[in-house]
Amino acid sequence: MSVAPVEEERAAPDLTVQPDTPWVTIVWNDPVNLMSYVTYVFQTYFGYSKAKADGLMMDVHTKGRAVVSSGSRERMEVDTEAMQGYGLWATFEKDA
Amino acid sequence: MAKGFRRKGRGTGATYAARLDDVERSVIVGLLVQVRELLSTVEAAAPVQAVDLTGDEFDRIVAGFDSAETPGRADPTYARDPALHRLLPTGTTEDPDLAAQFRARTEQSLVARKVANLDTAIAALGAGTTGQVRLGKPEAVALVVALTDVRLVLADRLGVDTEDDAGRVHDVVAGASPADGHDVSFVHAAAVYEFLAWLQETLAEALQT
Repeated sequence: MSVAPVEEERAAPDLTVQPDTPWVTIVWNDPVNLMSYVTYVFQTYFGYSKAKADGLMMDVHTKGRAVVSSGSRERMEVDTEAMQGYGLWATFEKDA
Repeated sequence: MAKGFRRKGRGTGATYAARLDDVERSVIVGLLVQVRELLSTVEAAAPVQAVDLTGDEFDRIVAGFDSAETPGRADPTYARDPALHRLLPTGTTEDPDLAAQFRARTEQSLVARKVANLDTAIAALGAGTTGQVRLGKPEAVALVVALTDVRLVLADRLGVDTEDDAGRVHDVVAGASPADGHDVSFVHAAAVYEFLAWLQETLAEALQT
């Protein structure tokens, strides 16, 4: 077992809407997590660039939530559990 | 006086160094142990390793300020301590059945990973030399994540649900607003919360570079 939350390298997801990938992982704003830490988590786990990770972090901070990944429900459950492992407030849902 | 984390060196040989005095270090380790104990109420965990706890006031931070009413660990409702909802939140909000399935599928492994991570952080801070703390990357990552879990639990105990609540805690610690109505345990926990936020910030910044 890894001592750290699941880490993996992944290419940035294609942001175009794909009919076969209708689920999303959402990270919600909370008053505890630090902006620098949230950016670090998005870079580390998703392999996002600093700019993309910063942008998602700012969406979480200013809009209250951000979609951080999309794909199959099984994949989103993995991402949600990973985000929760990092202490972020994450949920998955069917994309509206 | 503590000095925050800075990265030394690059690549796989990078280390993350800070300066913490014995009191600061034992406060952090004590809280890591207490969060591990809280998580252990929802898992079939190995016994908590023996680590020196500091004074009674630290014991009470995680136990809560109204410790007389804190249910015993044998009480099954203790497993749904509200702080656990911050550590192990509901996975999906629109479908309660799916949320329950997700929790059933993931909770044990999530708890086990958090506990293992806390153990790594406890060992990394517990071993050692006075003053200087120097961590390899795996230990630094474990600590930055573990500090999040500690701060989530402290935030629950301090009633930090919104950014405004966080601001009020900050103001109490900074002396910008009177600590009216708060007992000394609250003010102490607030000071620890702010200290950990600062320390975590330095570590998260150091890990990003």
